[in-house]
Amino acid sequence: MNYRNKSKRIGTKKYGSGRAFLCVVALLIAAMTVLSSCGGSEKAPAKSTASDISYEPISTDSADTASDTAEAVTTTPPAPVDDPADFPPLNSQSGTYYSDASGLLHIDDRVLEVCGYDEDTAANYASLVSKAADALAGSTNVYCLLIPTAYGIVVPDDIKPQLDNYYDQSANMNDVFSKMSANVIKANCFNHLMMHRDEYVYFRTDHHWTQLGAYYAYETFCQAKGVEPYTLDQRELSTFDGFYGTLAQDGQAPDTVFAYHPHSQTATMQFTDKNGTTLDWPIIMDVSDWAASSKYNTFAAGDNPMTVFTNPEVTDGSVGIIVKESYGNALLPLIVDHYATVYEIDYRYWQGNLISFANEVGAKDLIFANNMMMVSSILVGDLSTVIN
Amino acid sequence: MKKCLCIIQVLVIILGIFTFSACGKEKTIDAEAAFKALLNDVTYAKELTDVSANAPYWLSGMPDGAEIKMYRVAGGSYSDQLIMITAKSSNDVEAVKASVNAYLAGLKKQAELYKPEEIQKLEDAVIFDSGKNVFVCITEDTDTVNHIFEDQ
Repeated sequence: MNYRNKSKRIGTKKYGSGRAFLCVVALLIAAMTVLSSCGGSEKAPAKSTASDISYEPISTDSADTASDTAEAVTTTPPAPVDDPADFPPLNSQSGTYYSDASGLLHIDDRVLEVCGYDEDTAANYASLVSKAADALAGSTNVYCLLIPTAYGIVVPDDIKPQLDNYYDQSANMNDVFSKMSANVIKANCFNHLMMHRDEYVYFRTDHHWTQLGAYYAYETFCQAKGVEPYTLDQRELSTFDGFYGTLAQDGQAPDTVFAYHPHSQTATMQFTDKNGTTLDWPIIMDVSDWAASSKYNTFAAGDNPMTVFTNPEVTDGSVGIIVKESYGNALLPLIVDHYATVYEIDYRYWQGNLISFANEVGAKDLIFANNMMMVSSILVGDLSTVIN
Repeated sequence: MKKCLCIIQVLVIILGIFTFSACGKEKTIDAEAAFKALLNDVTYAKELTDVSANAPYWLSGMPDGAEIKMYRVAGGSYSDQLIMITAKSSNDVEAVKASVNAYLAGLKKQAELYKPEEIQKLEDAVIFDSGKNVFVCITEDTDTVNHIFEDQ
């Protein structure tokens, strides 16, 4: 064998294995690069569409902080006289219900919305009310008049056990109140409304309460405030038939709006609308000729950023502020009897600072009149913009 | 010949490395530039007000550490708004989008009751995510919104 050839063969073998090794290494590098790029890639900019996904609330410490630091500066309201044992029974005629595609409950001739409860959002609401109460302690009494919805009061007793996960609105209201500062005067009207649940306290075709329901909440407020309520007999009554509200269904019988006027017959109101226009308006508007869907607007001109009520029959110069969404409209004709001036603020449309405003006008009382659907909703965000 | 083949193999592999790595990396947008363009170049029903400090009251359920920029039309008559949420981690993006969807559902619910003329605008809301950022833009001027995201 030629030595050189042998050497060349040895050299050739060495070069051949080196190239193979290089190829293998390159392949490995390629494989690693491809795999790492695919696994950790950022998503390409994509446009997605909204879909229904459940969510969990964030929590805030402010409610706890308010509760820990606030001192009770007002007298405790008298103990409630409504005993749950005395609640009138309420049973359906049909013994059954159905839930439509929108999630509305249909029970006999009534349609109503399920009112869930989000504890963290409700805690945010409680923290905002507490913030106002703590800031105004010593100058303005801050009341919270939580308003139950139809779901909490008039779902029949025989239907409740049939519902999946029925939200106990009394427990939910107690939970919200428990998160509030001691400076908040809690006016809990749940039991008092339950005492009258077999009366016409909620519309059947609309998500609002009737003014009769509002009246029973007003009685609770008067109890908390320590004043005597004016009775229904002491008020003029206007009746508007043919009301089909927000939940009205084909074939459903219409509601009737019974509108009780203020006891103070010389009380007047002026509202500023969303365009900034200020108008004088009757506290109870004759809506006989209005559209069937609009008759709830008989109360205090509906929803406007600011409405001012003046009652010359109250001569002590007292000022009240009520912060509300649309449930509060039915309360105003009742509340105005107890103040010389009432400012009605719809926080969804009003732009201002509630605490500063209360100080500016020398408010004796600030009343948060908010329904239980609201305290678990995005409207708490709207409320946050007026409490700074 | 064998030498040439191996060199070709190596070149192919190197070419493959570059090709795959170019495809694997997704493009992310400049979030701050996009937000600035959305704020300044999109037409809204009225001027937007910075309400970022109040955002947690509207957007519950956000994962910890998420930063929110929120601009809305004040006064409640219009639904127009712009939101940019930067999650702490890309793993949180889905939770952010869930919170956003719940918020939009709440806006639609209110519009059904009180502002039916705003419902279509809410149906057409643009939700856009890139990297750790989720954008929400509610306006009639969705064409400009989409162009901004396409041009980033």
